[in-house]
Amino acid sequence: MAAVDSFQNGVLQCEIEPNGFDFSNCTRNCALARMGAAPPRLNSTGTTIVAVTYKDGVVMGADSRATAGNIIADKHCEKVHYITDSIYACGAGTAADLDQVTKMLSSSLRLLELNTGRKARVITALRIAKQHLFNYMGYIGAYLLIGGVDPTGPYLYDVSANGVTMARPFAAQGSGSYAAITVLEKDFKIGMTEEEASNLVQVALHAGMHGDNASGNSLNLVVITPEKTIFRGPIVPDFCNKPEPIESDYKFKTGSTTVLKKKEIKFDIVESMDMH
Amino acid sequence: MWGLTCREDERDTEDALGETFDATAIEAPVSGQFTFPNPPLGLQPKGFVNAHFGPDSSAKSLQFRKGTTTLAFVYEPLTEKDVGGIIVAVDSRASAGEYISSKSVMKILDVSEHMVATMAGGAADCQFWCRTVNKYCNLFELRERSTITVSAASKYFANVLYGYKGQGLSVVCSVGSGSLNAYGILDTYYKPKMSDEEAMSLGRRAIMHATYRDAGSGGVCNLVHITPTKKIRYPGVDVSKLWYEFADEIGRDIAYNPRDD
Amino acid sequence: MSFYQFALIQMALKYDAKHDPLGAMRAFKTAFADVEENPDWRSRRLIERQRWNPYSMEGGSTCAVAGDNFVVVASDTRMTAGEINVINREVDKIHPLSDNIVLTTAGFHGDALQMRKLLETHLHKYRFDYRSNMTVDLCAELLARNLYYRRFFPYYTGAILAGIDEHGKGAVFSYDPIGCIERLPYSASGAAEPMLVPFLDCQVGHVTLSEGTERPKLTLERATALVRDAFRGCAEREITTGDSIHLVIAEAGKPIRHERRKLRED
Repeated sequence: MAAVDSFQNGVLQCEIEPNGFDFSNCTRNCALARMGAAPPRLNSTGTTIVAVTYKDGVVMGADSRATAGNIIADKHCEKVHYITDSIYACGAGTAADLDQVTKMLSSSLRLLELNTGRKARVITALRIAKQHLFNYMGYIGAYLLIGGVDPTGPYLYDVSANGVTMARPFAAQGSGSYAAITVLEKDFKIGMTEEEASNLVQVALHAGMHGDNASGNSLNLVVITPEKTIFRGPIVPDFCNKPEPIESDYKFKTGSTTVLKKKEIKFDIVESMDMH
Repeated sequence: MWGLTCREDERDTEDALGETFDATAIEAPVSGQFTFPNPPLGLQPKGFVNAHFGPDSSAKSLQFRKGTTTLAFVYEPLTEKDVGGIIVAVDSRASAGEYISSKSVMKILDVSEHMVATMAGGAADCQFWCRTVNKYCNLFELRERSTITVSAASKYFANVLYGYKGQGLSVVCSVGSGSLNAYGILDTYYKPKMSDEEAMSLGRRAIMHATYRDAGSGGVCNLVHITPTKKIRYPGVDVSKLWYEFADEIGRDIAYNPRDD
Repeated sequence: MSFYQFALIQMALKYDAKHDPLGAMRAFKTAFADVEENPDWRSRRLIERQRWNPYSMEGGSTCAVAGDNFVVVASDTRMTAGEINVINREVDKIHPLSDNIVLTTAGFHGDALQMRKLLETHLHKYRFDYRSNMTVDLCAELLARNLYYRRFFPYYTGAILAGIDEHGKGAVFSYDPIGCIERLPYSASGAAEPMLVPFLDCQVGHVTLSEGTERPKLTLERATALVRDAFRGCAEREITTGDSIHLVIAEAGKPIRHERRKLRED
């Protein structure tokens, strides 16, 4: 698809300079900071989410660990959120905010689809999300990667909690993004096949899950093509497996607990309900 | 580093690992000539320690251990059989922030043959300074050939601590956060003349009530009875066992049960 | 006109004294508190000094269990920067100091190394002076004092000292950062301490068992298995613990043994 390539080329032009990193804004940013402009705050969001565009579509992926401080609160949490049949969002940040924002996006886009009788576009999802987030000045802690395929091609956008958005050919977010983005920077090519793209996302997620304490357990992928959306997961990488099982048996014999008091409650069954 | 002087020829700059090492660091500091090393750059010790180890610091598992409920009282013997003296009773919980870092701390520390100190506030502070006072008492008794009085020892203790005023030391002897509950029991049931049995069960009861209502106290109740002639340590009694005994005594149910319809 | 009078007029213009008589006072109090906290005359360097932080939290957990004639010391081998980034997966946090004394630490690794060096030097000097090895009780007391000597600039560590005492029994000493010492049958320290200790309380201390219940004897095999399982459990739920378990086993009359087991790496 020519439209896709020209779009990706345009974005890449800004993304990748032939000489590597671009430091030209450093001085300006320092000056802005001295004038009182608050520099963007980098949140540690305790997750790794990765998304990549390829020839026809988008591959998005996330790990499945949810943390509360240094404790793993959920080992199998779903971080890839449904928005429409062909638009998905990966979220990093406050879990409750992400749930609400993606729910809101999903319902408003569904309404739009019903009103117009057409499939919603990714840019529409992006606009609704950024206007909503900007209204709340960053207090809604949702960092999203919105990706999908619409009749004009595959798109991937990076949305920050304060409303800043960027169109990108590939992106990573969350505390594991430093590790993940290095893999993407190294191996991303324009016009990859679906297999190449999903492999790249997996490897990038592996890097994030390995090097970052707050990501891990397993990964989920969603591959969005113009025709269909495929869910893959949970995939458990080798290093996330328990190398050895628990050795001993921790069953307590009956009577292990001191009984301080006994009480017998007698009841009659007056009515029962069949729950099947 | 320790405010010690060391002759140049005594100094060996090679340590066991073959690297340079400050030889003065391995000398035990001599009290009197010794100053605690402070944080550099002129930082205030109290603020510095609080910033890195205090409740708002990021070191959740590295907070200092603190102790709480301790009590002591004097009583006269009721009958000929009793000896009277002092009962010292303590709980055994050490908390580090919100975490119970130990449930078996011995909070009655020996100061001399006939003296004990109870520990509340910073556990390390109490342990270290009680040891210092202990040493002073021993030296005093050797030098003067007479036992040191309690007031002399406590005066020395107070003077030592005054030297570190404002630096964040936390040494509280007798009392603590559960003391309000303990005082309630002591004020109600204390009599100047008691039998030994009665006095000990009063001490335990006061500690039990304090641990029941204060989250910072718990574990077992350790007890020391100082008689005019000797010091007797009693083994710890689990405070929940004391509570069950108490509930049994007043005929209260150990668990609250709403009445059946 | 003095500065004070000038300020008064300024204030009167700025704050409507009739309708909000305390407005100016409130604003002044806020400003005063601000100046107290952040005075103009405080140099940039001084501000830097106030925020000066010599410590870093390097995660990980460690524990020790004492038995009749042995002691098992275990720790994970992960080193982290703060809570998030892994910086090393094969760090030894257990330091055997002699044939019967083992030091293990969680917290700042730099301080741990310094502590090890200090104790090693002391042990060396003791051997030199008294022609015998230091007992673990003595070394434990030594560590407590040395931790306390740094009362106002403490070591950023949660230390455990374990070993075989002069009666051939296992001994575990637990410390807080400034040297509150206690001898215990088992202890844990570090990020997963609140997970390890309840497990050991249940399995080694048997605190939950009712009085008549049979209590399994703490053999060396049982102790090592329990400690390994404890770390496997912690690696499941604590993010800074993982990679591998390093076990050090000291038995009375035998040389110290090391053992390493894999843990999950994510």
